Amino acid sequence: MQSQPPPKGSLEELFRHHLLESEAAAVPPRPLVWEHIDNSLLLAQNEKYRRRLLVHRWGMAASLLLATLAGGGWWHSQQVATATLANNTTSQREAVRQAVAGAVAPNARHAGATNSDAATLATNGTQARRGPGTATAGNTTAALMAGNQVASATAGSSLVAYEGTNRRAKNRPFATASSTEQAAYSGSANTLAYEATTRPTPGARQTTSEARTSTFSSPNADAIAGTPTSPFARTSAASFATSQLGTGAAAGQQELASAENVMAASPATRGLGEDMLAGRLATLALTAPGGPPTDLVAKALPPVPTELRHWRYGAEYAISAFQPNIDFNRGSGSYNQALGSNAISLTRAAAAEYRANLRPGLGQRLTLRATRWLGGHWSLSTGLEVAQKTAYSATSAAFTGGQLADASSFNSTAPTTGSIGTSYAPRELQESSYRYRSAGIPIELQYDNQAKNGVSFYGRIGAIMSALLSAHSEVAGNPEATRTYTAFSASSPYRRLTALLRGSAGVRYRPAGRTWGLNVGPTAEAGVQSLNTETDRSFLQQQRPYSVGIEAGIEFGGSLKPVPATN
Amino acid sequence: MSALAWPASFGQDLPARPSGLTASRPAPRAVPTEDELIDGCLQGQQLAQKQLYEKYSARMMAVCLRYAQTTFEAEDVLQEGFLTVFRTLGSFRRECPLEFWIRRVMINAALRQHRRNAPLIAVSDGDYPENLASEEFTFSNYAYGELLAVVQELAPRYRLVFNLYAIEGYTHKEIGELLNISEGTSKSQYARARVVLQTKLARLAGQTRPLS
Repeated sequence: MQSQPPPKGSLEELFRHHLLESEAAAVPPRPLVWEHIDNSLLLAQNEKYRRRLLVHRWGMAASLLLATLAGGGWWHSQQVATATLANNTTSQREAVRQAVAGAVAPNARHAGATNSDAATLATNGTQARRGPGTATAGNTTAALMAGNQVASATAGSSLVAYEGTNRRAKNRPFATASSTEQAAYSGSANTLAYEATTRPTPGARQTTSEARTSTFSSPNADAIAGTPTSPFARTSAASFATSQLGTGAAAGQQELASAENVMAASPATRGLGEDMLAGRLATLALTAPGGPPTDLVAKALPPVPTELRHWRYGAEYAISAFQPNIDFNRGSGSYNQALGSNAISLTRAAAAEYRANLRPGLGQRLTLRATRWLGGHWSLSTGLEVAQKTAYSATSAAFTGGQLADASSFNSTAPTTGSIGTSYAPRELQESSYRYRSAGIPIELQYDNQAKNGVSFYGRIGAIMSALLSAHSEVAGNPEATRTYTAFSASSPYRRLTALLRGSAGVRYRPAGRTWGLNVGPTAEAGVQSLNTETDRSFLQQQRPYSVGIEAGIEFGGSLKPVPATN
Repeated sequence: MSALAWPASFGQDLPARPSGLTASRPAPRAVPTEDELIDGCLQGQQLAQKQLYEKYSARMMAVCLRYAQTTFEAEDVLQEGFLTVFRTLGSFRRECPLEFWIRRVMINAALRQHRRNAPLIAVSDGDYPENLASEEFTFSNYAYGELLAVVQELAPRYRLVFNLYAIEGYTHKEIGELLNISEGTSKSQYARARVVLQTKLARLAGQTRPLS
């Protein structure tokens, strides 16, 4: 049997035979290698989660800020409305009181001059009349006391208050005419009324006592007769007077209530009261109850001249998704000659790879703005803004936009034939990141309602001249590929000066009576030209950068301002 | 779901458990297919990642050993290569066997390692003749370890060119593109590597056995 000769071959065949065939029986690496890989994978996963968490935190913070602003604005508007209402009520009351005091003063002087009148008034159930628009002393005091103690006082408690008032009036030293007059001049209706009450004569006190006695003795008879009992009548009048204190209508109603008191007291007193009331009305020439005082003349206040402020100032922050939309595919230009004859094809392939993997990044902008009112709803704004925008892509050739420096890991021809058969070349991509910083001057036309408080809408459109301050690019895991171009870099593939068009609209909230306002709304901008310089495309066919986002800002100096009157 | 959670009547309809099976013995786990491994890795499953690593790590270690000078360096390349595999597995189009794709990733990792270390390594051609005539070698006269050691002793650039051309089957043009050198440079470096290897193999044969 002839033995088969041992296999022989060239140097290449020898190595290929041993090295390739022995791969299956190769010794596996140490377990430590997997631990390192596992640890690195875990770290990468944590980094990914950390990035997500960061995005979520920013989103939550922005939502919280918006919610806080909205809630604070709503709360502030409520506070302003309440304060305005309180001020209006106080001022109205004060105005009526002053009007009442002005109307009462002559009558009170008159009452002080004639003791008989005052005594007569005190006799009529200790109700000292002041003329039109004033409350009866006894009722007013009772009402005030009842109102101070229990708002919904019962007839009995009101009666106690009423009696207490009378008792107090009786216990006080008699007031003189001069004291009454002094009280009248003091302008305080309450004091005046009280002093008038404390000025009865002994006869008046007796009559008061009789009236009280009759009041207490005949509640049933009054009830049967269909008229309200005196305590109830007084209580109603007192409660009504308390609730309507200071209004002319309430004073008129009090007149009726006092008259009812007199009528309900007793037939004798009722007749006397009617006579006295009629005489008193004739003396004082009272106007009809409920009518306006004849000596008060309504004067319309002249409107305060105002105008819109010419200048407004503000700051604005915008966050957006920025897409540089660059096509680095050059039709002409410089290529890295070190790459040899494949320089153009390799660079174009790298540019296509960059564009295929291009992803938008975060864009941030801070704008300081001055706005000039043009007239009507239109304003023109300008200012200064700085922006930082980022974008991401992936490359297998450390390509960042400039010349292709290294094509060693870039394989533009796949599949490749190798010893292991047809080896499909995988694109081992490395993430590349781009950061653009720029400063610009915006000029925008704005439409809004500057005079409106609360919530209003605004719109803005304009152009920005932007200077690229720096462009920084990195390739993950390849620090040699890091490039930083400044505004003065001669080899920068980016335009140093670009023009952008921007439009934004949104909602503005300005609290009433304030000169500041908050605005928030979406914004979008697009470049007039491409971001890179070397492009063989025509102006209309260029790939322009764009961004869409949201902006929020604060503005000072809005709303109306008073104008000094000119004679 | 626990069996206790089921109503008692449900168990009556169930077929009887085969007597040969016990609850404590786990069912034999099927070996995951390549697609299942890929899908598991894409979902971030640690088990799938480890299974994929265990399946290909030995073969890829052999590849890395050829491109590296030491075992430690090869492990570094292997680690970086597998990290790249797990990171970029989503770009694998499944048009070829996964092993080919991983092998290519490992070669790229070795090239990156070479670029990082190239400036630090002083290259010396040594004292070798300019050219040698081609000769035939008997395969059985050499062992895997001997040949691997001879390759690892080559200068880094020679080792790369020799591996890419002789073992992987790249053309000199492709090697020039990969290493950022010209085609002629690749050819000359390969010729130089071949002379070095021939000389070393001759010395190796002279020490141990007669050169055939």
